[in-house]
Amino acid sequence: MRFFGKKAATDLASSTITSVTESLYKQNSELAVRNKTLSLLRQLYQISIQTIEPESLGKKIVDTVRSSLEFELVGIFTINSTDKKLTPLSFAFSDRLREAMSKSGESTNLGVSDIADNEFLLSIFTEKKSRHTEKLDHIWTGVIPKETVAAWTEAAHIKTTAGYPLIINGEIMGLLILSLNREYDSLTKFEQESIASFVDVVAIALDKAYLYQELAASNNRQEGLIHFISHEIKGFLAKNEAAFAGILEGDYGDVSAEAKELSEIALADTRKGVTTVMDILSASNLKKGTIKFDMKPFDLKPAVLDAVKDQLDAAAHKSMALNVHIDDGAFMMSGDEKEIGGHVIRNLIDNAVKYTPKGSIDISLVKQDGKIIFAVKDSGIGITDEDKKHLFTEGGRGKDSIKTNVNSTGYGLFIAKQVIDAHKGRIWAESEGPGKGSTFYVELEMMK
Amino acid sequence: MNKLDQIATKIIQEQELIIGPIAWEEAGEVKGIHVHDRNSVSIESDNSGTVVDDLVGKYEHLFGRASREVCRDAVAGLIADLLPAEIPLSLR
Repeated sequence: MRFFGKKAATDLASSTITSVTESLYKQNSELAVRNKTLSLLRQLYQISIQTIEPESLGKKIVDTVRSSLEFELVGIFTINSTDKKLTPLSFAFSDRLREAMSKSGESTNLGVSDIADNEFLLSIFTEKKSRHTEKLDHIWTGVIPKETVAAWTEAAHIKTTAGYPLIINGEIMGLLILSLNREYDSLTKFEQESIASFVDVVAIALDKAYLYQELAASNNRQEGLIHFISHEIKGFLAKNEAAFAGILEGDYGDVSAEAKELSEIALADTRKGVTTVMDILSASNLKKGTIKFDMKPFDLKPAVLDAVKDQLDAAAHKSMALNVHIDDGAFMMSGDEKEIGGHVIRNLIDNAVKYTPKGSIDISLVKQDGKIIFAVKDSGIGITDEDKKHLFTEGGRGKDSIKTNVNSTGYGLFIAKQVIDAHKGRIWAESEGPGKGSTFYVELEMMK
Repeated sequence: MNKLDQIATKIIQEQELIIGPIAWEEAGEVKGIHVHDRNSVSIESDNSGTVVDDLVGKYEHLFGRASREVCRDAVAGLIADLLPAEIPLSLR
């Protein structure tokens, strides 16, 4: 058996503690690098979800990357794949580089007109791989005078400039430029890991921003087109409506029974067409926020009774009962009577009649806790869970609704929701499923 | 804040990420270093480079060789702007 002397034992213990401490330090050091990289990625992620406009997104990205890694320059170019032109999206500079650029008096247009003339940039694009150089002027060869870029390089102590292709689906959408005051090989572990991680994050964030921009532009074009077409069609339909109404009213003299019958059908169809076009136009205007509501105090009861009265014939045609329950007294509220009564209430009752092949419809108007509750309960086709998700969205008619109502545009409930939202009310639907009927509710604030 | 003050501050901030606030306490024990609210330091000495060397040495004594590499990495961007003779020996 071996025995240690007291000093030897103390030395051994001390050496063990030192070894453990150093080992823990190394582990913590690696964790610190990971944490810093994650922190930077988290910042970029936050930026990407909070910013949707490409220029603003690019600016926030380059500012964050530059300040986190203390680089002299961080820039993003976008590329036009047709003419191979690099357009600067956003650049961030260190103070000393910005000062040097300002002093040089050169134009700060950093665009590159054709990368075919630039060996350094061209190789990044053809090989789809990053590249670095000691010369900052390799980026702007033939664009900015060499002496000018040399002055910037000297002032900012730039020793390395690296270019990273921003790739989405195998296609290069842009270029990330980083300039630093050290040799490329001296990049620390944190810097290497960060760059490797964030290049892809930047590409994805920018791709998302551009997609959003394209989508918004496409939506605007579509809205404009809808407006134009709707106005044109509305004009033609209005002329037809007047012509058929004139025929039926005898403005053109006596017409045969066949012509009269045909005119009646044509007039009814034309009026449906007008309603459809008006719905599309209203939806478009509501989305654009160009509809102004005429908010005034009014009693909702007459609006409900009028809408019921208008549907009596259609209900009778189906041998359907319209059961109405209305609480006593007035239902005073502040709002746009034409939109609430003329659209929302009328639309809900009209839908109930159209989507109920047989059975009955219960319409109620009650007061509850300072609110007006209007409800239409039918025994019609009901609503599937899937349809419930799209019920109040634009063009969001039910999957099978067209079978029951061939004139469904899918805009009625969307408009109703927009109107009710503008009145700070609530509109919703309940149904136990297909074939089990449905109940539509509207809740509005009662005037005190 | 001069360059060596910035270098010392950056070293301590980087060590703080690894060992926590004790990094500032240890730095405060280095002669010539004045800690301001555990946020930055100033070097009060005729030979600032030696003070930075002492700071790096302090961490190395406590945590081993790896801590010197951490110090070097932390200030790589800052020392790149210095002339070779101006760079503290421990960071060369």
